[in-house]
Order: sequence, then C-alpha cells, then structure tokens
Amino acid sequence: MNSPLVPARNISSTLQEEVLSVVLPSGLRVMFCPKPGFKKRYACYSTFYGSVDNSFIDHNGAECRVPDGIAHFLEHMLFETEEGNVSDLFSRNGAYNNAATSFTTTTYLFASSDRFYENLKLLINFVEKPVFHPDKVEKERGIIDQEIKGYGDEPSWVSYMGVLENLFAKHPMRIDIAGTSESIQEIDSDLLHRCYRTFYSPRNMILFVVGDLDASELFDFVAANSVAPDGASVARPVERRYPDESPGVFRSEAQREMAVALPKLLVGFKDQETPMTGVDAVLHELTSELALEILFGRSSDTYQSLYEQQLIMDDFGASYSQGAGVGYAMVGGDTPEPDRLHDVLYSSLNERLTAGINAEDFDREKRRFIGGFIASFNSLEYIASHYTYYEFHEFNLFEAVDLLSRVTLDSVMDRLRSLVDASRSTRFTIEPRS
Amino acid sequence: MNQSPPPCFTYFDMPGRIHLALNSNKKRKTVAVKFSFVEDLSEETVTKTALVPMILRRGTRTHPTMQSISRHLEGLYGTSLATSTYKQGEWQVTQFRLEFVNERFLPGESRVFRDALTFLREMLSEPLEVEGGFHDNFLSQEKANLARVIESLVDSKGAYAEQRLIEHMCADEPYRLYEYGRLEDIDAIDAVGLREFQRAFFAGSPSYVYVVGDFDLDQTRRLMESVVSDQGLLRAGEQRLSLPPEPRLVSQPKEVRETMDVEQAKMSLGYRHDIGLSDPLYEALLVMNGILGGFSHSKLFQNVREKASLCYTVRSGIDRTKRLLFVSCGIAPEKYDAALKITREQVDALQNGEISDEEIDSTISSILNQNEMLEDQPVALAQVDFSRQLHGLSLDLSEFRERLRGVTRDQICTAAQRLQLDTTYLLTTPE
Repeated sequence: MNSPLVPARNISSTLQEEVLSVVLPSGLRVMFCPKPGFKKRYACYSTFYGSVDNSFIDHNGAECRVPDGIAHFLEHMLFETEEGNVSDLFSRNGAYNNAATSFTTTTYLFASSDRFYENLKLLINFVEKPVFHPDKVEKERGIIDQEIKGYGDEPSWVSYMGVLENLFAKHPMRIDIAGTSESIQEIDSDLLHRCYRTFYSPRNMILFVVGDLDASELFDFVAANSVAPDGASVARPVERRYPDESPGVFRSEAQREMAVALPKLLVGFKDQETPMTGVDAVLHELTSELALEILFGRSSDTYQSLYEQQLIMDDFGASYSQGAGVGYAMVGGDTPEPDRLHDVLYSSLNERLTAGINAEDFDREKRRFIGGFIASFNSLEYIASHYTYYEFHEFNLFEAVDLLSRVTLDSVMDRLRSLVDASRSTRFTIEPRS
Repeated sequence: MNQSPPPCFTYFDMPGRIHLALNSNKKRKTVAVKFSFVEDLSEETVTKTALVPMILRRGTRTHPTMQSISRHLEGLYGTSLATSTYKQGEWQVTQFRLEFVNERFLPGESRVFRDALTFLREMLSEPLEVEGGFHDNFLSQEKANLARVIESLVDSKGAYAEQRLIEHMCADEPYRLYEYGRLEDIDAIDAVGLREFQRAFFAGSPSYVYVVGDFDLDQTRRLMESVVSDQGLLRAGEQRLSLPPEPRLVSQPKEVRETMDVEQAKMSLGYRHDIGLSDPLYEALLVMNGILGGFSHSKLFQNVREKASLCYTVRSGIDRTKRLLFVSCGIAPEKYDAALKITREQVDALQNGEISDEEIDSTISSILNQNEMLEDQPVALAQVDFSRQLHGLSLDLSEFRERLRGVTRDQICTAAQRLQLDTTYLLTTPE
C-alpha cells in the first residue's frame, strides 16, 4: 500500500466495544469491530437499497419505475457467479453464508472460523461482479415463487403486510418485499442490471467485519480486493422517489380467511412525523418504542388485564418501525376474539392517554432498555447489522444508550398522544376458514 | 490460528442432587442460568408437564402476579425469563432460563446476580399457592392457553406437517406425542393435583443447572449452593430415565396424504436408522445427513432447488436419540411427484456411494466450522453438553473434531445404507 489507511475510532465505554472505520477512495465505507478471542468471524456487505426503492433516477439520469420485488430478486441473482453458485464456494471453505432483503437494505453475509480472507474475497467478488444470465433468471423465478407462496401461508407475515397495505395508499412500504407471483414475471436481466448499477455503488454501501482480526491487515486487504466500478467516485448520489402519502390511513380495516386454528388481530397506527436520519430519527424511534412498551409491554396494566380476560396470548406485543420517510406502530397477536380485543384495546388506550404515565413505570422501562441494549451486544450479527443500519441513517449506534438520557416522561407522553391516535389507525384480522 | 483447548464445563454436585455445570467465558456480556428437569415422555404426564412452566410463570410467594414478576425482572435491567418444553428422543425436557446483564457493565450495581437467582429459585420451589394447590383462576387461564397452543400448531404449516408425519410414523410409540400434550387431557387437570405432580416431578427428576458468563467459578458455585439450599428445592433422589429407545425395523413403508387449504404443499419424509451417539458410525451419520440436506451444497438443495427449481426450502435433519432422519420441503402441489422422485434419488445416490470428494470435504469443513463457532456461544454449547449428559456421555470437542476429520466415503455410504424409509407424508391442497 502506498498510503496507509488511518482508521477513525469510535469507542463506547459503556459497552466496552470499539469500531474502526475507513473510507476507501471509491467511497466504500469499511468498518471493523475487534473481538479478541472469538472463533467466529463475521462479515456483511450491505447496500442502502431495499424493496421500497422502486422509483428512482438511474445511474444514467433516467427516471425509473421497476417491478415489485426486484431488490429481492437481485439479491438471489448475485449468488449466481461465473464459477457457480456462490454458496457452494463458501461451503467448500466451511463457511456459512446468506443474504437478506428488507424494506430499506440488502445484506450479504458469511460467518466462518477458518479461511477468513478467502471467504472475504469471495464476498467482495460476488457482490461487486454480478452476472445476469437469462436462463439463471428463469430458474430463480421458480424458486422465488415458492418463497412467496411459503410466506402466503404464514399468518404473522400475512397480517403484517395486511396492516401495511391498510395504512399506506401509495407508499411502497405497502408492497411485499419479495413482490408477487405476477410482478416477478416482469423482471429480466436488463432491469436487474439497471438496479444494480444504480444502487450497488460503493458510496451507497458498507462492508462491516467483526471478529479476532488485525485491523490494518483487514483494511489493506479490502482496499486491495474491492474493485470500484468505473467512475464510482464521481457517481451521482442515489436519488429515490417516494410518492406523497396522505396523513390518513388508506383503509381502516380488512380481513383474510386462512387455514388457521386461532384468529389474529393486528392494529396499526400511522405516524405523522418521522425524521429520516440522524439523532432526531433515532430519538424518535427510541421514544416511540419506550412509549409502546410502557403501554403494552408485559408489565403494563393493559397486558395484565387483556391476559386475565383471555384475550391475548404470549405472542401479544407492540413494535415501532420507520424508514423511507414513514413510520408506523403495530400492536396485536393471536386472540380468540378479535373484535372484543380491538374494543378493549382502544378503551384501555384512552384510559392511559387520560391518566398519563407514572414515573416508576418510566424509570423501570429505561432500565430494561439499558439491559436489553447491552445484552444485544452478545451477538456479532447484531453488532454488524445494527451498526450498518444506523450508519446508513447517519447515526452512531453506540450513542443510542446515551440518547436515553434525553428521553423524558413528557416527551414519551407527547409521543404517545401523537402516535397512538385512533383516527390514524387500522386493523387487520385473520379468521379461521370455516 | 488460536490453538487453545476448546472450552468445557466444570461440574459440581450440589445439595439435593442437582448437577451444576459452570463455564466462565469473557466473551459474554450477560450471565445465563438454565435449570432443566427431564422425565420419560408418556401419555400420563406429557400434558401436565407442559402446563408446569406455564403455571409457574403466573406467580410466586413474593411476586404473586405475572405483572409483579415482570416488573421485578424489568427492574433487574431487563432480566429475561424463558421457559420451554421439548422432547429429545422419548424424554421430555422442561427448562427455565434466566439471563441478565453482567454487573461489570452496570456501574454501582452488585445485586443483580443474586436477586435474579433468588427469583429463579423461588419460582421453582415457592410458587404462588392457594389451599395446597395452584391459583385456580390462573390455572384455568393457562389450561385454556395450553389448548390454544396445541390447536394452533396447524398455523405453522411446516411444523404441523412434521408432527403429522411423526404421528403416522410412530403411531404406537411414545415419540408420537406432541411436546405440548393432548387436548383431551386438559379438562381433568386440577389445581391441587397439578401442584402435587409438579412437586414430585421436580423432586424426582434428574436436574441439571448450567451457568455461563464471565464470573469467578468458586464464588458462583457458593452463590448457587446458598441460593439453592435456602428454602431448598426439596429433592428426594433421582429417578432413572429409560434408556434411549431401541431402533425399529420398517416392515412396510407408508404413504400418507392429507389436505388443507394452503398455498404451498409440504412434503415430509421420515427414515429410521440405528446409529446412536456412541456408534462408531455416528460422525459418518452426521456427514451423511450434511451431504443429503444440511447445507446449500447438499444434494437436496442442489437438485430439488437449484437444478429443478421446485422449492425455496429443502433440508434434512436427525433426531440423535430416537435415531430418525427427516427430510422436509415446501413445493407447489402439482410438483409433488417430481419432488419426491428427486428426493429419493438423492438418498439412493448416497446408498450407492455416489459421493464426491468435494461433497465430503465441504460437509466436514462446514460441520467443523459450526462446531468451532459454538465455542463463542456458551448457551448453545451448554445445550449440546446437556443433551449428551442425558446419554451418560461427556463433551469432548477435540475428540469429536478428530473423529469427524477421519470419516471416509465408505463409512458415509454404510451410514446411508442403514436408512430405511418409513413414512412419506404430504400436506396438500384438496383435489
């Protein structure tokens, strides 16, 4: 190497962890979390590109609207290399590898205890040098169709997507990540290539490595093996187009019949304000999660009362998610009586909004959050995926725990009032097919 | 490469014949404590056993409601409580696991470890009691919940298909029982009877405790002893478990087809074999299963998915104790014949010795990698050790790795020849 890479260091004394990072001339961010003594070495190569990115300005500056499910299809296609399916190549080295597409990101990963650099080279090569043979595209269509059909039989996924379809009128968050059996028919190698060129540019990507490795050896290796496409450093920033989404819900209810034993109710709330990036976004997410947990968590009066009335089971819970400019909360689970659960849920919600939150619940929930946050750092996969996710959103994961001191009882109460608003809510029910 | 010997557990016998195993490991930010009780799987006890952890979570002497338990644990920095019931061969295992943040990461805190343990001990030995039984209302709620758990197995089509396969395949063996029990048993269970059952179960069952985290071994052993002997977990002695079930021969292979309104059909095949954990062919069995359907280079993945494009998921797995091998696959209903044919061809190929060097090498190094990475996951490692302890075997990772490296093509082929197809099950759409 002619000029040694000097990494930036990010240290958390609370977590007793550090992350070193460099930016290569191509714009690729390479990050490393040292884990001395660990056998497992884990790497994930991610692009800030997911299923919601279906309308954009492509790498040539042209407006594009692509078929649903293409980001996920592309994820499958990258496994097909000139040397065969890349999973086989990882297997030969004893490594485990996989990939995942979410609404906003796509990630390729491997874990191995042995032959780390051979595997890392494989990872870099297959993500950076794709081939899209038309016959492989055909073959993959059949596999993906069965993946879609499998999800279609899973009540949790069906109800999750059901709520999103109800909440959003136009926003692509309402579209299934894998698309549909019909939409994947429209995907061909040209379209795949176009999406690849637009979103897999080094500036839109992060390579994150965790494990017992030497930092400078790692950074030098990546610098020597990552090949930037021509003009990458002057590539235009990704420009995504999201439709204007009205504040109200698209539909206030819907239901499906499925071959299940127990009905399922999922209630969704459409958030009205969602900061896209940075501290504001994470503070918003954190405050929302705390608010929902205080309201619906296992220690809440609501949970206790619903459980005693036999309206919910162990799987009942609430979650908050945000991305691509929208945010939403979901509450629910399996229930013998979806209508009654819905009514009782709303009345207890109103009670709580009037009565407010007490300081004891608030403090206890904060302690739980601190413990949960520290515990999640047991997982190398968690560190890599969450650090990457927050980096894409211009936030430093290590600071999340410190942000907690900025969450006040009042801010949680305000968040609750604005988020849990019956006029922007919807319900999706699954009923057993008779 | 780091050549330090693989980690192992330090064992102690605690008062009350509780087997304690400790593993201190700097890698973890939390401490996990897991209590396991084991008994023979039987019609008489399976349902009551499944109810035990459900009712114990409802209240203890000092935390008489689920809400007060949750609040107590949340206050201990989100200490998590997980319970489970599962079967290993024809044993039923009941586990209670508590995991909390190591005080090293909580400046000024020094009671989390002891408080968490004290809670766990209380949950096991001093549950909420009303007139000599469990709380009546709580019990009737949990009985209703258990009924729903059993009924809603059907909501997860893959798991449902596998259980149905087992019910057909092992129709007159205890293994047929679903680990959550039988609907028809639930009604008759009463609060006093279940409390007596639970007391006798905990008093007589072999009992194992694993503690993993970063701590001083002696200090932790003393802490465990003081917590356990305080209000002791009353234990009379240990009942012997039955030996692992004898392998059976297949007289007549069965084919079963059931229908349901589904988008995707589920095909499950059940094979019997006779290779136990101490069999010289045990490692060859693992490699054979890996070549068949354990990885993405495996024959099933390559041929059913990659070449024929018939499915998204296809895999094989084994029950080491009952000595069975399962294949499962999600397919379009009209592709059943094709998928079954290709699946059976893969087993035939293994039995005929059509196994490449590359398949063997890839599989052995994949299993070795998994095994090495297990060293970073003491909770999973504890589970492996525990399952071997039930067979009276200890865990020696170095020896296992050496034996695995020595597995030959002939041994793999022989292991495959010991497979006998018993039942082919299909869950599909109505005609």
